[in-house]
Amino acid sequence: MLDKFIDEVASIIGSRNIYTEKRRIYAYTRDYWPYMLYNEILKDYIRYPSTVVAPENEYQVLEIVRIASKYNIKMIPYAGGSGVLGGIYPDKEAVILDLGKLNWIRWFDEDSMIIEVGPGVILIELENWLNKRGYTLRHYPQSMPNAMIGGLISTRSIGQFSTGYGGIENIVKGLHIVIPSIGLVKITPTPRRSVLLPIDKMFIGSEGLYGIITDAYLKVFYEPTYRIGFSHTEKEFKSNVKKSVKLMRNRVYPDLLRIYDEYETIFYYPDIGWGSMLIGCIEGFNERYLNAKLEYISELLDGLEREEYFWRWFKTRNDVIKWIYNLYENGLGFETIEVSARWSNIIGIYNIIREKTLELNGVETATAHISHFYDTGAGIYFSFMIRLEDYLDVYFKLWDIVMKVTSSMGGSISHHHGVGFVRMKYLNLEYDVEGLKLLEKIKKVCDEKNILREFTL
Amino acid sequence: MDLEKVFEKCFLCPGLCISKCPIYSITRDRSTAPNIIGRSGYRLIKYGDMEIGRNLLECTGCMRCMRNCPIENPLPEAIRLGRRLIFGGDEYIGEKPSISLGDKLYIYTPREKDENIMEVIEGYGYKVEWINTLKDYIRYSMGIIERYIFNKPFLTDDIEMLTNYGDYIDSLSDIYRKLMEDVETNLNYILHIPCRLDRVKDEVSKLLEDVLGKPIKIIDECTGGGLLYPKYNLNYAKMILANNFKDIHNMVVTLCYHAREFLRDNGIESYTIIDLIGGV
Repeated sequence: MLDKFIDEVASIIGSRNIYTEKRRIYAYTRDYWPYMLYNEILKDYIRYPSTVVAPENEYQVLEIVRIASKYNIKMIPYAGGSGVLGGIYPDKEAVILDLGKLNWIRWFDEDSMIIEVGPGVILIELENWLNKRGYTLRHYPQSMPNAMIGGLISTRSIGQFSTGYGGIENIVKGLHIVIPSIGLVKITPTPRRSVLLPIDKMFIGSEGLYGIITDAYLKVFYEPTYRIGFSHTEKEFKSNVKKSVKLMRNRVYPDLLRIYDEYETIFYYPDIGWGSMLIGCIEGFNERYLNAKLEYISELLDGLEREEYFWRWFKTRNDVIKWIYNLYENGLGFETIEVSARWSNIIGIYNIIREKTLELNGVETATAHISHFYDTGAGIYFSFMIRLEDYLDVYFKLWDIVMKVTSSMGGSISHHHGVGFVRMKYLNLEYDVEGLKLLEKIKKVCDEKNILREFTL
Repeated sequence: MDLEKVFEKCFLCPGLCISKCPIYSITRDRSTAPNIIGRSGYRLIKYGDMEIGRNLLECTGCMRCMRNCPIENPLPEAIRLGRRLIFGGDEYIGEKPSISLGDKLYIYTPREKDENIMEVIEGYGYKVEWINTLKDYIRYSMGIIERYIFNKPFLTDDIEMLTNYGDYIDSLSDIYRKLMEDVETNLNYILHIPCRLDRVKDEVSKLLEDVLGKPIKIIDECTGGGLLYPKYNLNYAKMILANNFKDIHNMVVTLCYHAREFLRDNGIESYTIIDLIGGV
């Protein structure tokens, strides 16, 4: 079947866009899921897909999906491979659909501030392209240097400037989606619509289960001319959290805000001693307005401290490899888990997760920061340092604790990393039976032959 | 250099440099992305995996990954040394140059003479001469090599081997005479430095400015990769060209033979330095 599939696909996209040699498919054996990273480095365990196909336009994607349906071939869409939950975890029978060549910047409506791009555009490429013309997407996740637009949309991503600019759901204004049982659905960009279900919004976070994103219309902003950073320290994490709630209550939204617990503060800002660090920034086009806003923020936080603390983070914010390698040299691995919670239970969730996970053998540290703020609550991001010799044994136990504690205390099991492979089995903590039934039915409608990633609990 | 450590860093990295790689930006094939090449190098060193190790051959050695790496991991150098493991061992998996033993080979590179490399090549039974002066480097730019003296590249990074060089050497003085004559014409020059020559950008542009007696504009985006790798996405290479050269109405001088062809295909008057001086 696979041979026939490859032959037919080759007639559509050319054999040069089909990779079967081991050295080339090796590149698609994992995304940035730490569990598989450490599996490979510690145990030389790798899962190879059978083949990689790399279409160059959306009609080729449509044809590939049609042929895959005909021969019942499993397809795994792959964009930048920056996901951290094993969303592309390949089956040896599966075919990876590499969307990297769908990397056009096709249309830019400067009057409406909307840009049309392919799913294979690397976020930083798009941002640089816009910056040269005085615009910005202001979607700045840590994976910015390697994440692609298609992957960001399909995992419902969020950036570091979310408090001011929102998540990806706020900037997607239209989508093209190849849905296996239906075809190519095109939703054109409009500022808002009220026409039954918002189809494009339904596919933000669809993670390659329901369809394949082949084109996106994104909102852009003017690149701000001024940015002012600020910082504020408190003795305790919870005091800083309370201060941030005060900002939300008064509808004063910094464009970026981050609060570190005491343990991350001592790690990133050892010079300030024991305490909790809050950093943030405001951006805009009028210095007087920004200074007035800063003054009000200062009033609500009871004083501001050095701007330098913000810039220190800003300049090195994506240099993850520094930390990861440093840990590795010291015999440690890492894992990060983000959840969301209401203001009323966020500190409780934080305390219990810390307490329970630190009891696990091999978990050396459990720390957190809050970096996405809403009127009703926030996204909280846990980081764990785990001894390498215990890493693979303790990994899923750690996840069990974080998921169950969060869910039992009323939080959401995922804030922005999505579901991937790891969270699939925790979906029943998020949705009730009827909710899961709905997700399953939608999957059947979109992907009758079940050729895309499976929906399994 | 501890190769395993260098490759290990790339192994652990999500690929913060991939958008800066001129080859990946053209091919969009992840086996050509720098972090994957690093991962492949790790497998080559740790497990002797020659098959995946072949990914090391995809690199042009432009060093942009290293310059954009938060820890300045010297991946290009590690790749160069890693390749020697592939090429220098008993099991030779690269394409052998079609030259005869005993031929005199000329390695042209801006690098300092590297006795280790000399030794490896001499091990194959060739005589070797190392050329690294700037003037010679320009003379042996890709235009000349392709048209007059070049047989086949041996290694794909900064080491090139030249054959049948003797016929050419006598005409070098003519090249410079003709170049100086051409300075009399009233053209604005744009110098395109292809990725593999990035390291000598400042030196080359200054020399050309001195020779031409007028300022030149430098473009250092890779435009040739699409042709070096014609099996990949040519449309994307064309898009890079269109973006970089669309506002240029004057003549473009390029050190890259492939870029010249592409520019001409896109209706932009373009020459290699050798074209400019009327050939030899």
